[in-house]
Amino acid sequence: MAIVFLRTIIIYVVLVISLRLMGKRQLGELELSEFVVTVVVADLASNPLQDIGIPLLNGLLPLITLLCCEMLISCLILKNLRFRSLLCGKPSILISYGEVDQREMRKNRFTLDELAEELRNQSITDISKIQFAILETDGKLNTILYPAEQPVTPAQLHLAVDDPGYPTILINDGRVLSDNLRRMGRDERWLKKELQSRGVAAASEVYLLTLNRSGQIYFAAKQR
Amino acid sequence: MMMKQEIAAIVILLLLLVGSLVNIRYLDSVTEEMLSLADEAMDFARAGDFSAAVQKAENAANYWAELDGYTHIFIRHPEIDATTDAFCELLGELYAGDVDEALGAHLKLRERLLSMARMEHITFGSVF
Repeated sequence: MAIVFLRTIIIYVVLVISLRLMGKRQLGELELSEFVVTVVVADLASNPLQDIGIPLLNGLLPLITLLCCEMLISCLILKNLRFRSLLCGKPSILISYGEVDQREMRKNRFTLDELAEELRNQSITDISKIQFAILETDGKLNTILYPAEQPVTPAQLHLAVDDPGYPTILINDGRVLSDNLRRMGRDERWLKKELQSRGVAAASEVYLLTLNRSGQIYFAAKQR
Repeated sequence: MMMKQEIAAIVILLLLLVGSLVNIRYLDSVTEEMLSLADEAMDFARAGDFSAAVQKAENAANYWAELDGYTHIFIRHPEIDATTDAFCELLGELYAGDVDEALGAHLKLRERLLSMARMEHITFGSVF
């Protein structure tokens, strides 16, 4: 039991370090090589955990090897265009000027149902409104609408827009985030006053309180 | 230009490769040592000198036991158990003074030790 416990801790630490070194993308949008590593790593790590007859080194060695290989391949992908297109492929244009490229669809084994689903996810129902639909190397479908179909921006309407800034959290589930409070140029006295004006005696009674640059406050008291 | 991380990755991979090769050589040398002790034990047994045979076989078994720190890190535990069993079997037959049975146990031990060393060798068969 103690052996399994120690092995679990060691494998866990190595996995966390490995995934951290592979970068944030490892957790979200995966390239092919990254995806392979992620799938294999999970299996490799679990084997020595379950079977104490396998030396821990048999689990650690492949993990370290995979990490090194992934780092080298990432470097090659970054520096060599040919290698990048060889390993990651190239983006495919599935819709060009409102027309579905059937050859590209077949080549990417992308069905019309899948295309329609992806477009619905982006609230697009009419293919003729799409200028380009590009299937990216990580499997995401990006669409670019014709300029006439794109949402109007305030800049196009020559409107001046106030920038309220990003709302900063000052109280998170009863805890005052002092760093955020200082960053927003406020202090505890100001916070106490604001809470009193909302009928709250202490920060511990607040679920969420945010403040943006224009001074707007979002307040939510804890539910009892 | 390569970054420090990539250089470190290459160095680690090279170290792992060199370490693997050194491990093969080390395992070969310890296997050879144990085989020669077991073979000598069998030579004594065939000549009817069972006390010398037992002495040699015990030396081989002790040598194997002393490798415990190494074997538990580098070799699968079922392999270690099987080899230890083979040593015990050979010693048992030698204590009993049965040459024919000892011969069988000796062959089993030889095969166990050789297979353990072979498994680490980089061959088409062991890789695939």
